[in-house]
Amino acid sequence: MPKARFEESEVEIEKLRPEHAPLFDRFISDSVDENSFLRDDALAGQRFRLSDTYLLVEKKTRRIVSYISLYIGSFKLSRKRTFHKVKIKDKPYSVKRLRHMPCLIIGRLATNKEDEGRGAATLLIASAIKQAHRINELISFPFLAVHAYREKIPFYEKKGFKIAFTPSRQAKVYTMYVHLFE
Amino acid sequence: MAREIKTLISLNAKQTGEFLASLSNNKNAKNRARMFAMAKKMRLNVL
Repeated sequence: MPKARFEESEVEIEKLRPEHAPLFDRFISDSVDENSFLRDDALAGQRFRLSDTYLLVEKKTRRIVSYISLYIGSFKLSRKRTFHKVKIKDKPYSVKRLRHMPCLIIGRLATNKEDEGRGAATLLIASAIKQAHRINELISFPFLAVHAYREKIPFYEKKGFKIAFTPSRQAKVYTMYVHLFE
Repeated sequence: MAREIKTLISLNAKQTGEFLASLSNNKNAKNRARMFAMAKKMRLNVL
């Protein structure tokens, strides 16, 4: 029987701190890569101000249910632009000198295996959107972006993300984004 | 070591065209509206 979705009252979002390290061993997601990031790299990334990691923690058990790590990034546009079969309606984006469009990137998003399907990742994405709006009061960036594996595309589409462009043949991920201020 | 995260997303000419065009399409607009409403209502703050 599927477990119930998490209510906001059952969880907390905590910014990663060294005191969380003893909780890492109980966090096992489907991805070895995301598990090793949490154990080996997340705290260092934060210490050097390269990324920020936020944990969704179940209040009752003090378990890490899910985590998200956020990075600052940028879309670097080509000087040459091929617009065949497409129409550019939004004039500001057709400015030729515009080369970089800043964004906040969801670098990693992982959920404990036993808690999949309970809405934990959705809560963290909603929190990232809320934070992105708050940061935008001080520093502007129009997008929240993510590099998604093909099988995760429907998940992000349900959250309102769009595929940014057709990836190159060798790429394993699709870059997706949601505009924060449409 | 965990995989590297690409923070500079370099687009070629065709990809730039596709990306700029995607800015004006309404794909997943309903889902986006639902998600943003959820974010707005959310009471969870970062501790």
